[in-house]
Amino acid sequence: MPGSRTSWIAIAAALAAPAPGGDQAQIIDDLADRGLDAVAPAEMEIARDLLASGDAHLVDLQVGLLDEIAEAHDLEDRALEAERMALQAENEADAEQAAYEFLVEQILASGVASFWGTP
Amino acid sequence: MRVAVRAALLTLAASCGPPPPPAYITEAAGIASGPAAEDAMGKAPEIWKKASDALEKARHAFEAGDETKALSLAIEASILMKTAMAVARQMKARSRIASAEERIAVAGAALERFKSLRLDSESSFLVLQEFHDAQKDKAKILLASLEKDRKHLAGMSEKQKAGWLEAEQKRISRLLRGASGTILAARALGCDEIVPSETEETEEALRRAKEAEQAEWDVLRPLADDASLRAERLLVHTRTLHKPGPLANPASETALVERFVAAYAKTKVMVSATARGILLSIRDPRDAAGGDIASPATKAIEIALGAMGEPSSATVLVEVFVSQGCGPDGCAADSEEIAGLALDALVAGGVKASAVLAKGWGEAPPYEPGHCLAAPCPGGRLDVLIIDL
Repeated sequence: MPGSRTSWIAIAAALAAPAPGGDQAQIIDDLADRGLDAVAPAEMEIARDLLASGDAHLVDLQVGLLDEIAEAHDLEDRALEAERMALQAENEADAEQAAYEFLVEQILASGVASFWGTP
Repeated sequence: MRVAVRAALLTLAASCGPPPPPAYITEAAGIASGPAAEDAMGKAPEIWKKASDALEKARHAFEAGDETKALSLAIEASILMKTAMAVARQMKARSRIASAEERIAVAGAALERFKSLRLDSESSFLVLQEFHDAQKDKAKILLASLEKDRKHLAGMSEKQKAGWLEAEQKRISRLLRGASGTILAARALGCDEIVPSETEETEEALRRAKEAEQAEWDVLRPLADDASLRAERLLVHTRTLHKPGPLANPASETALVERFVAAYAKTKVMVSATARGILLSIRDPRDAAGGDIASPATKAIEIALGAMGEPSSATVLVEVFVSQGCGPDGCAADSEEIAGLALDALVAGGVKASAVLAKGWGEAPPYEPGHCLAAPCPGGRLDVLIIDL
């Protein structure tokens, strides 16, 4: 449960040394700019708690996690778009095939040929 | 009493066991046994190993009483496991993208294929419709002409009638040779495979007409007309229904015909665009001794090969007509021999052996535009007909 995980982070924050330098804070701000607050709100909250805790190692790991989540999210969006395009391409191909088959039916019905090569 | 002692002992035993793990460890362990864990283990094993090690160390630190270290390691384990899961999600997404891209490629190829088939079929259909309409009109004209000639003949004197019948017999004989030649051209294009039953029916119609050559003219003529129409239809159907893609008559390409006309500009070779293809009519194909192909004819074949551009894509029919000065085996054998030599020269020049047919007509006069048509010529005639290019 994210809530309870956040609470350990708060404990860790209470136990830890003062906050690390501004670089990590900037990185977390950059992640927020990339929309990670909407994509992974619980993990962003953990990142901020860890930043407050001052454990630079855990902050680094959490930033790494957020990067991977962002990458996964982007790739999943691209996968959805690619699947949408694949479906559209398949529908277009099906429609073209149906048009061709209809034409062949018309040709055969006209009697000009007794067969028509169908792939 | 015994029960009370036993209960007391059990309570004592329980209180002596290891303390239960704290929530942060059980929750980190819970991530490790969740539904996405197996996937992450398989797809990001190195990260997963680090996470498992961190979790193990967290348990040890907790058991050693170092709660601060245990908490930090449990958080590390939890982050690493979720990182492995995110990496696994990436790999799955990449695989979905690759699969979708493959589907797009397959669908795109199918779309192009069916589009091209539809466009080809539309144009072939129009060609066939036009051809069939023209054939229907031609059949009506032939029938009307038969009726007209019948009436015309009835009003002739016996002498006139004999002359007319002789001329008509020659015309029908030429018509039947033309039908044979058209069937040969269709055969060179593979009609046996493309329209097998139609090929059989057409040959049967030609056989019927030839068998009736001694019959009354008005019995023979409709049979000959039928065979001729069927042969034309066979060639057009073979061209149109050929797969992949219909085969156009090279004679319908003006630029191509002009290329051959230009190539033979300073020679005696006659170039004609016919319903069967581009016809190259070469005079005097035999050498002086009569047993070999004459060098001007060989030169003419070389010019043909050059004008073809890519002889390997050509389909060619060779026909030889020789009616005079034949050797002891007769004109049929001589013409077959010259036809075979011309075929060899074409194959040596790059035309596929499977794409050339050769026919020696012997004394039978030619039936298409070119030399020796009006009157027999002593040196004979060699035709190279380019049916497809």
